[in-house]
Amino acid sequence: MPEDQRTIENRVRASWRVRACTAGLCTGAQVFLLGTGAAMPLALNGAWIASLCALPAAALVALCGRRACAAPRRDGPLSRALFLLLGATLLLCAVFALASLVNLAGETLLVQARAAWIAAYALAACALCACFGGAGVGRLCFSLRWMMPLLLGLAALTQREARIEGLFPLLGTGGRPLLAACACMLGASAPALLLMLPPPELREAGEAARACPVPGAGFFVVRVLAGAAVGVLLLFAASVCITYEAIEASGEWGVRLHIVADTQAHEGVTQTLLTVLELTATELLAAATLSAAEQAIVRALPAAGRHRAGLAALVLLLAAALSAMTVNGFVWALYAAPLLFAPALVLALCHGRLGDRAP
Amino acid sequence: MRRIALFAALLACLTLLGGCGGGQEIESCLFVLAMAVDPAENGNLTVTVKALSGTQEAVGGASDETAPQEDGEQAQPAARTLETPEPGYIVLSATAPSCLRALSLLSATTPRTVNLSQLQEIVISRTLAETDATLSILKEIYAMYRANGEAIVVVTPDDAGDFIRRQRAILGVRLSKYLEVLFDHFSQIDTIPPDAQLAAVISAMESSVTDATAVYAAGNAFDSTLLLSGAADLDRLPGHLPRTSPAENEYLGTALFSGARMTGTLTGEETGILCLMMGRAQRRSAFIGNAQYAVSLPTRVKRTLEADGALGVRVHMNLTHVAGVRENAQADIAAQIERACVDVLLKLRAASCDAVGFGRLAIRRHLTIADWEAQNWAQDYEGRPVRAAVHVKVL
Amino acid sequence: MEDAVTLTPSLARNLAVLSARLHVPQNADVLIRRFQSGAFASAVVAIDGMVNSQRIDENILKPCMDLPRSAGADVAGAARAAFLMENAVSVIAAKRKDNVDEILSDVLGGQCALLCEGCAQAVVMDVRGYDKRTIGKPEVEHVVLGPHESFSESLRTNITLLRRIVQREELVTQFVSAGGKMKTRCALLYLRGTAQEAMVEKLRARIESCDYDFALTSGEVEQLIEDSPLSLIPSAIRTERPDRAASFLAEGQVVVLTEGSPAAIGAPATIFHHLHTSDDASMRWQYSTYLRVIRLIGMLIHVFLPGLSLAVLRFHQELLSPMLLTSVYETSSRVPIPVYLEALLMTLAFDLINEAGLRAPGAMGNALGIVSGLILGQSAVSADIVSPLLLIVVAASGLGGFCVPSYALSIGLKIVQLLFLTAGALGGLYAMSLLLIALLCAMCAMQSTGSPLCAPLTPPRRANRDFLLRLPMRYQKARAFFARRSKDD
Repeated sequence: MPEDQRTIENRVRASWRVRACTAGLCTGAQVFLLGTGAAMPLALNGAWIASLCALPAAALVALCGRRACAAPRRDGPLSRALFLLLGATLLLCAVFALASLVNLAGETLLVQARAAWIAAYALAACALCACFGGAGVGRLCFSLRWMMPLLLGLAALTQREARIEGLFPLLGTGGRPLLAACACMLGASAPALLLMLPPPELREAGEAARACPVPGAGFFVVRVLAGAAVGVLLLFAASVCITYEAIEASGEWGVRLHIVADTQAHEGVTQTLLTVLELTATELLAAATLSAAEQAIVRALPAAGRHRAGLAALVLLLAAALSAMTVNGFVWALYAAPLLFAPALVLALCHGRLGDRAP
Repeated sequence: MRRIALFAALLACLTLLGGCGGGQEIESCLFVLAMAVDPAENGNLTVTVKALSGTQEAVGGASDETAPQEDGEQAQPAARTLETPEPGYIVLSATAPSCLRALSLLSATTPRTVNLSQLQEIVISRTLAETDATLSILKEIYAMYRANGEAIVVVTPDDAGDFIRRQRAILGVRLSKYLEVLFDHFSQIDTIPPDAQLAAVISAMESSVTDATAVYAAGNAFDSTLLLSGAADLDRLPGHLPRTSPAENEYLGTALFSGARMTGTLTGEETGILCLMMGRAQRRSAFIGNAQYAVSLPTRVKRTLEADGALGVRVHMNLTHVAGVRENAQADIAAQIERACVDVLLKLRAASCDAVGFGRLAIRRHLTIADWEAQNWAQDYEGRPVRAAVHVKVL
Repeated sequence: MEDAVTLTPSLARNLAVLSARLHVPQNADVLIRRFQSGAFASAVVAIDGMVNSQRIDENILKPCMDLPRSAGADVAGAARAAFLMENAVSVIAAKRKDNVDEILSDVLGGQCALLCEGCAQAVVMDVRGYDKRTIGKPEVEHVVLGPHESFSESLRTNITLLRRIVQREELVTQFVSAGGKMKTRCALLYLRGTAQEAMVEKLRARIESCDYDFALTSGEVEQLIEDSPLSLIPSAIRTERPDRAASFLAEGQVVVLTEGSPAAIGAPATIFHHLHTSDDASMRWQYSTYLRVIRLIGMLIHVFLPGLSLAVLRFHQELLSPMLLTSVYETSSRVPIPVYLEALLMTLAFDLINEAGLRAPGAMGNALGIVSGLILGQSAVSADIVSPLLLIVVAASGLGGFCVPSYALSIGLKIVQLLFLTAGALGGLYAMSLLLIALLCAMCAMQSTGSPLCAPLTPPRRANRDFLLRLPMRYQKARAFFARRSKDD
């Protein structure tokens, strides 16, 4: 006896909800990482204002992602090229997340460890997460969707006695540097490209599941915006606890990532918890974008097969990490991240070519 | 099978790389509880540390070798001296051109990795604090692996190394707990400034909106019960409290900094007034005349930049008579506290130390950093008049 | 003689085939009794000790032998088995079969076969009478307030225990055989209309497709039906309690019982099933919620505490208070081995004591725990071989492991604990958090007979919210997510 159609629709909607929450969490993490990495050196304590530009960009990408999934399937060379571009963009997001992870861990938890070792562990974890299929990563992101708000709440709690002097002067460096920071923050919307790919579990589901309608635009936009907003608030919290002089003096990106807890002596447990939550969010960003990149590559090159595509993505990530460590650290990832908006814009404009639904 | 083989290979690689993680056995660390920095000859610094010895037995042996130096040559890092403090601790010192080099010397000769994660206090001699070297010394210490940002910065007119040698746990067994309780207690009675932690001091020294304060302490050279007439008990500098005590060090008062340089001091009583004006007062009882009052602040202390450019402080205070004979009227008490506030503000201004944080109010009137820096607050602050308004209600 | 597939009308030939297959006369357990039943000859085949001889004598042999010589003379050869079944034998569970393999399987299972001259069918009757253990108390799943019955090794008894609790016409029992050469009889029970038919078929197909020689125990059968054999977390739930198995049926799960095993398997299962006990339903919601939280804390302590302590001692000493650090520093300075090796040895010693206590007979097992734990532990600390802090950590972790209700999960978590111990020693909190993310990803991706293991938490499913904390009964209105939806959902 066939399963109740209502049950199938609910389950498909639940899969989309998982996907949307994953995109929201990843976007929020990228807003925070890019804000501390690229916007803060430009706008100093005005970085959180610059990060507001990421919100409309993320909403636009989410909207286009929803339309892409609702559009009929196309298999031409242009469609394949666009999926390859999507895969490459998401892979770059994974590299950026990896770079953030290495920097943050190197500055906080493992100051005496080698960067190569930290990167090796992070890559291994990414690979393990990705090899279980994108479904596992997405479901984990869904179950931990309150982690970023928890991080924000904990940061707010520890800063409740702090003075807000770090926020002033409000516009920071003002004028052109602030505009440049705004332009940088547009790249933080790239993880929302996850929504251009359907949830992995629908691949194995039956025709009835694949024929179910995609939820409305508001379903996705609300979740992506919520995640991005948390990222903006985290930047705000970071700006509160670091004065502009300290930001100027700070040469290391990892130091800026470090939200300082205002705690008593030897109660570094709160500080460590904050750091571990940040690390977790970054690792999830890396794993989710890596899985999605693999999915996009498979869609572009179906003959490659899932395992080969995953292996290819991992090898590229490894190559990026090795080249970063031998050339100039991960600084190049920091400079490349703001440029992610360019491919995201191209993909958003051509979303109709990325359709996946059966005609 | 292939997947199992891949997992096994991955696990083996990660395990083999385990040595690159920077982990250390706990007994290979030298946990420093207290550190002292003194100026030495030829621009060098002498760093003295008190650390855990890892044994309850007294560590024996003392030797004092000094490398011979010729005039005109840069001093070489001198050999370290070993002292025997109370059981469980060891005192080591080294002299080098910088703090980091001195600590490296200690690491190399102990031989243990110096770990500052349990650091409770950093004592700097006054001679050094009155130079611009303080900030760089503190930043070097803070930049060290795992340095505890909550360690209290203390300035002393004595030899800082002798200061920490004298520092013992007169109550209890553990020096760390003793120091922790000591600083907690003095914070609660407002005889030491609230933001004297290492991270806070560095942040304030680098900041343009506020200035740093540190704890002022000295050796208890003599114990006397002589009272100074007309002065409050705590209205004096450390080393002169009118009581007997087995503690060889006294922590009382504030060292004022302007930028990175120490420019003045406040007594214990003045420190209490400073805490009140900063809105960080924790003391809940006050002795005025011959009466004791319980103090409560119904509203937050307000700091203002008046229209005429004056720096103002507004305090509302409720006093509940607890014991003794009430001799002063409500208005007299208010006037007395107001005078004390103005005296402290004038002292801070004379020392160019914006410890109260009026700069935090001034910066809000500027939209960009360029505008703010053009104002040059440090210079502007010295020329502004000060005033205080205290409203007291005796219940 | 070539292997025959079906019986023939010749009684002698049939008996010869069966004797050859059962290795008679070398095999002394086989009983073959020929007799005259009315107008034709018959024979009964059974295994000595497996059948109730008195029932055979009174309900089969005597009625058949008492038939008059003319009875059945006009009955066609092919109908003689039916004739005896309808007119002579007085055993309620009787079926006619002609497949030699099936007849042999039933005879070996304790039934007896009645063959007739001229008939190519045999009447197989359930006259089992072997000795079996009485219904006892659960050995592993102890409860305070709930029932105290447990399953036994008899399949029929176990089915009966379930039917006493679930008295519904929708309760269906399907028999399947697992194993190639040595078949083990299994029963699939489910509530028709509540359980998903596709899931039942999937389970049935998995059991029947087993190509191993034998799958004797419920544990082996569980390994046949699980989705991911490489995972550390079991994807089916095992219980020795009929009341718990009945709750599985009510939730829409399929219960698999195995002949010779005192445990039932429930599938599909979620990770939350492993954290529940049957006492949770018997107590008020406040008490059971509190106890679930305690169990969860115990489980987390079991998995993470050794790794965390190693991470803090090797990488993050700033997390220790100065007082604690001083004590640890003084004691660690005297221990000659690295802290990771120390922790590993202590953990293995704990597991050794556990295992030895289980295997040691009777009262020796109790004494073993006291001797090992107190004397060895105390001596090791006094001799400065291990530090007291690590001893406390390992002991607390071990205690936490005993709080996990599911024995299978607790063994899996022991291995996970070692992984976290190694991660904490190699990379501190960083490596531990990465490992945790990877393991959680794997768990979220796992399925149990097609249902996500971590549902209804993730992916979200509209279901009974009683998965982590226990809600009051009046708020538990929905079924489990893998059940068919009722009209009220």
